[in-house]
Amino acid sequence: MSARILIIEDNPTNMELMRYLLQAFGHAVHAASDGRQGLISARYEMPDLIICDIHLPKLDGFGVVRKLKDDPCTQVVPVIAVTAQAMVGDRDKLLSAGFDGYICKPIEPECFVAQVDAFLPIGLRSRQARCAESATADTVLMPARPSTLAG
Amino acid sequence: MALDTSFIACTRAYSDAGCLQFSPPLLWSLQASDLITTMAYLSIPAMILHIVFRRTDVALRRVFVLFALFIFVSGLSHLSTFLTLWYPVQPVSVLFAVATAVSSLIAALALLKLMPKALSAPSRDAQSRLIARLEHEVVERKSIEEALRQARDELENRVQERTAELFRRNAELQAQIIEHNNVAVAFRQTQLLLDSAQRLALSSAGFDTRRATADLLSLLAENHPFPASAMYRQDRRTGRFMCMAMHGMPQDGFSSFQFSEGMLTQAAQTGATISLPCIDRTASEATAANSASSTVGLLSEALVVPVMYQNTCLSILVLAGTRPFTAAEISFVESLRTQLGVAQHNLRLYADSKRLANELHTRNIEIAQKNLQLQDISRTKSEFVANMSHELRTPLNAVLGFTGTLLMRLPGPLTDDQEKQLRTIQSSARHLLSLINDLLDVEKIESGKFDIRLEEVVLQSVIREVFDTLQPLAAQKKLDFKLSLPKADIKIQTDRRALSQMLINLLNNAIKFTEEGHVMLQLSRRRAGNLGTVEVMVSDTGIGILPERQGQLFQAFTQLDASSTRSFDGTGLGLYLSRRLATLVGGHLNCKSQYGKGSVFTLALPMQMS
Repeated sequence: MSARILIIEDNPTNMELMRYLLQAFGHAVHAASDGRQGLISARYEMPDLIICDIHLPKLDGFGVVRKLKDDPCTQVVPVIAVTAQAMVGDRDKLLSAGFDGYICKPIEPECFVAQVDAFLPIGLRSRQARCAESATADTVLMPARPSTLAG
Repeated sequence: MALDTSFIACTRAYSDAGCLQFSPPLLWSLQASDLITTMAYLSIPAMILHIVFRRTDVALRRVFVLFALFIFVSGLSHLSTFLTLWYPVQPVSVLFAVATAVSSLIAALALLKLMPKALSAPSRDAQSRLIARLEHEVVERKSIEEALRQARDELENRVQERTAELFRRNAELQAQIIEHNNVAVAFRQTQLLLDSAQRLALSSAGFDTRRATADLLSLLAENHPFPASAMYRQDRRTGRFMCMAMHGMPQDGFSSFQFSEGMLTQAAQTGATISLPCIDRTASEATAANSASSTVGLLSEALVVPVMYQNTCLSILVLAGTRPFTAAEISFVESLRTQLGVAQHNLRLYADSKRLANELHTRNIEIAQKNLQLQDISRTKSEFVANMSHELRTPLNAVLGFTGTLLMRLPGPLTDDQEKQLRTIQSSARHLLSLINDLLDVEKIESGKFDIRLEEVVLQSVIREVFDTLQPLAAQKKLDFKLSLPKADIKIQTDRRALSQMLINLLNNAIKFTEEGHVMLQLSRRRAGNLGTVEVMVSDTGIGILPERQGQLFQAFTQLDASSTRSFDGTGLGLYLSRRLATLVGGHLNCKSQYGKGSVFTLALPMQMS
């Protein structure tokens, strides 16, 4: 099984990395490069999960999550913040703003998909993804190659 | 009346014969009345004219004159009628009648013209009323004038009073001003006295070197046989002699002596007094004659006296006299020079300390300015570091991310070489990232922006997490990596992130600098009353630290050995950061090391005993 995931992220490289990883593990990815476009995509596509950057043009991550959670149609969709603000205290701030969880930048490729899967219903999780636990771990997961590369 | 008229007509129109028909009494009465009328008519105008010309205030003078003329002419016609009885001169009578008619007509016309004016003229009553009013007004005006006069008198009185008072006040003021001036003068005199007393005190205390020297020289001239003298000081840098003060010298100095800087230098070097006779007396005489200002006569001998203090020449006193000096005088000069040595030394000390105090003040100002600049620079640096590390981290994320995906073989299988090189990229990028993170942390700590968040932490669990993370590193180096933890959980209030960062830094260092043997972490607690301490000890059997280098251990950006920097990668910030973090959470970090045998780092954290 796979999920339909919306990524709202303005940095193209980060977007490409996340899109590549998620697609590699079988998820379908929609992309939006600013907050307003992200809101429109969320309402139109009704994804299973939304990954949202905090620093975004036009409407920042806090604005996006507030509107998503205010809208009865989208309030059930889990929203994960991806942020470089790894400061202590940010966790509470993010959760109270309405995010269901957060992943710190830089993302760890070995763990990223497993971290995302944790927020999905069991039926939609990618079977292969498992967090590699440690950066020095030798176990490397071998998912199916994505059919198309992000570009 | 009708009878009269016919009679008169008869007398005028007919000759005497016809008129003689009147009865004589009738005729005589006619003649008498004519004569009386004539006399009256001639006297009345004379009286009228007399009145008119005497009384210039009579109104309508011209009319009165006309009346007078008319009456006079009528009188003449009556006269001619009267005369006609005896002398029949009818033409004259007719002429008078015509003149009477003309003058009466003119008078009538003038009267007619005057009628409205005469009618409008005030009646006698009105005039009397007017006069009465005028009289009343005159009375009133007089009374007002009287009142005014009284008022003016009163005013004058007052003005006089005021003027008198003003004069009095003015006099008082002037007296006060004079008194004030007197006080001011007295005050200024007192101040001048005080000033000069102060100056005298200062100069006698000897703080003003030049003045003190000049005073000394004049004393020597007045009370001792040294009418001419000078004091020289050697410049500390150039070595040249400079004149501090001079007394009674000829204007060209000691030209009459064979006197040079060489002489002064000699005296300064030997420290002994040199006696100098005047060689060229004629030159000396000539000089004395030329310089009228010199009160000194002919100079015959000079002494060059070096003023010494502890074998150092402070200055040179040159004394000259008009006769050779006696032995007593020379011994006086010797004792004087000893005393002068001490005095000048003190003066020099005083001047030095004063100069130092000034310098200190200037330095302080400079330091304050530098401090401000530094604060400015520090702020700029903080902003720069924060921006820079963010900018550096963004591309590094991509490097690490895609290296990760390649190593996960997501795009496809890798050869062994490819995997090895990718792992090198990965570890280098991670190192770079940790460096940037450390820099950011240092910046946060130094600018006071590092937030400490205290929470209850089970020490064993944090230690195990860190241990598990670093286990692979120790395993690579085949080190004995051990934990020694008490069984019972130790809970403390601390910042979890700071704690794990400190533990990672300490264990990482221990592993990095140990080639064989063990790295061990021991946890223990020490009780001290209600308060306790938890100690985390990380010991290794590594290269150790030279005792003289242990002081630099916790400084930023120092790795102890320049050569070590090559073989051990690291930011040079780890220990610095750890000690700052330890302080932030209320603990401290110390090190004991034996060079060549190993090191022990002890992290002590406060604990609330339950």
